Amino acid sequence: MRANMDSKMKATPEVSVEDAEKKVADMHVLMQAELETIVRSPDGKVSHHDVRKAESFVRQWLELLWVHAASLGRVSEGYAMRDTGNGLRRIRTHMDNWFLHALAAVDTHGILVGLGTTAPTIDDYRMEDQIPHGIIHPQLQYSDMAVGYPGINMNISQITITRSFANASGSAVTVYEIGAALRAYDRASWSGIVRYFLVLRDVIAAGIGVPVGDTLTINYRLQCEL
Amino acid sequence: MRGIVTNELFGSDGKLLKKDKQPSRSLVFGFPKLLYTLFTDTPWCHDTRGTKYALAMAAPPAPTEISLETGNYPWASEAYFSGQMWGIQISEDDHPITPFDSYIRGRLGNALGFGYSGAFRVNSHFSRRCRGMASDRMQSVWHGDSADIVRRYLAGDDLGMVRFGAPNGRIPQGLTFDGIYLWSGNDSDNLIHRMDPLTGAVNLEWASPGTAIWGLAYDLENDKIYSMDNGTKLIYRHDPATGVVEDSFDTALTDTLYDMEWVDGYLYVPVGTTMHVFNPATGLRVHSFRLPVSVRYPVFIGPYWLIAPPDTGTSYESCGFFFFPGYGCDLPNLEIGGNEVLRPVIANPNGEFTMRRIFTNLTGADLTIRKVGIHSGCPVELIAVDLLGTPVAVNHGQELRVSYTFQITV
Repeated sequence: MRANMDSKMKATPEVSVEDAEKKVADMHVLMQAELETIVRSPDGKVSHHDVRKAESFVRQWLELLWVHAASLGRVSEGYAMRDTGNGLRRIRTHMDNWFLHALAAVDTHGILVGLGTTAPTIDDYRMEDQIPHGIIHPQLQYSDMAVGYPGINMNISQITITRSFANASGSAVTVYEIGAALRAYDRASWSGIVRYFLVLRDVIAAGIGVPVGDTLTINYRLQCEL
Repeated sequence: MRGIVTNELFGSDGKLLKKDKQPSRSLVFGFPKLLYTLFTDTPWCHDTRGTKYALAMAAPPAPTEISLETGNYPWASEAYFSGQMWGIQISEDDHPITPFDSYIRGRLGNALGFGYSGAFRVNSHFSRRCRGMASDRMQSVWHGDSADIVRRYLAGDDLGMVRFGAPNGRIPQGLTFDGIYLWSGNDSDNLIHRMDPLTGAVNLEWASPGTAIWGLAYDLENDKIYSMDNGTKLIYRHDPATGVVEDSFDTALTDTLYDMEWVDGYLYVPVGTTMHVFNPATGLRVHSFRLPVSVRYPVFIGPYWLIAPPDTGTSYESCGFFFFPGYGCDLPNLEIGGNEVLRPVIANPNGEFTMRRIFTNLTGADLTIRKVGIHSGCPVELIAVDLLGTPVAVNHGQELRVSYTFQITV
């Protein structure tokens, strides 16, 4: 869940300028995504359940966070971010940025699934081989997104986003990549043009088999842990 | 995502005296709360500035005011923010950090700056007066709506509201929350009720000796209830289990006293555009400061206050939120620089960006900084807070530069 702090670092908190860089070598994870995957049959039987640390906030997450932290406003030229269509878009703050609460059958944003197996890199801007919404193999039926109200306990605060993918394609589908995309507005027009940006991408090397009629449910938990 | 906190101490001659780095450990509840608002596009009170500025951290030097554009409703038209509201904050406090932290106790602020948005129409779905407010300082706020009490979330207006009748059908003149139960008082029968915060079911009742109870507050540190009597201008301290009066003091105020709030050992009593601060241990008024608007019902929510102004005489009573330095955070000669947010640097597999702020101590006193954090959002939220591994003594004339770096690695 998090990196352990170096006990020696705790014991020697005061450092010289030269030593300061060394101190954060073993660094605490400020926020991470936990990825939970569940496959259920129509009668509720669970054939797969896995929880793992998600590997990959990709660059668009950091960039969009920066755009808003820096308050790039209307007078700004915006910041160039690559959208899921491989277009460089000038993004600035907008009241409707960050939205991922996609409706059912919408596969442009929210949690996405795919067939790609290439390991993630920070520069990933789209799913390698996204599975579209549909009923023709290997398509899956995208449910609407669920965004849980943030939870909190003595150590962790977190927010969970959830989506289910039903296999009505007539053949089993194996999911290898999972990601999430957000909406943001391109400043190309006064009111902005809707674009989508990949912010998370994970590859499951072994794949997740989704038999015909079954449903894959994916939870991403964005966790902040003390 | 990882974080680094760096603090650098400079002498009055600009020479670097000390530098320290440590991992940032603590994104607190405010951050996922803002993410929820953004992911679902449900700004609080439906004000679009709530999403547009949810992650705003860049700020000019305090006390410069930032003017925000008009909100999407006429009653949300006025808004300005002090430069110190957003970005990196510092404090001498050394209380342990928890994910529940919603504000930095003893945040060192510059009293010259206010932030205000007037007004979010908190009870926009209703047509009656808003009287008495309470908050858990994190997720929820309760407010009166005629003889009802309404609970609503502080993020995500799609989550619905809980409404229940106030005890005995009386208009609640004072509300407060003790972490488990909601408390209500009114001036009709001077009874104080403890109730389930979700259903309103009363599970304890006792009488106040007051003649006109117009305000309640709860002391989180000592488990005490305070009631305020607008008739005698006395404030009573009660054992919450029995209602027994343990102490009382005279506010020596002559104006109408509507409501009060307890924050970090002090009672805040608004009278018009002045906030009076009392130390309940001594009964002494220790501080008074100007408010940007006339206030009757204040509730401390986290880094900011939600307030209800006097009745407008219209069919509703609006509420606004605003931000001001509390008692102990009033250092007019603490110079707070702008909060710079530097451009991202990304080279596979790493990416990062840094924000930083300079605090110049011209207060005439020496400060010891033990805690740093970040404010963001509209209304402002505490999103990160860290205890420094080594407190930094910042003497008069010295500068402290605090930096936060956010990093991702694939």
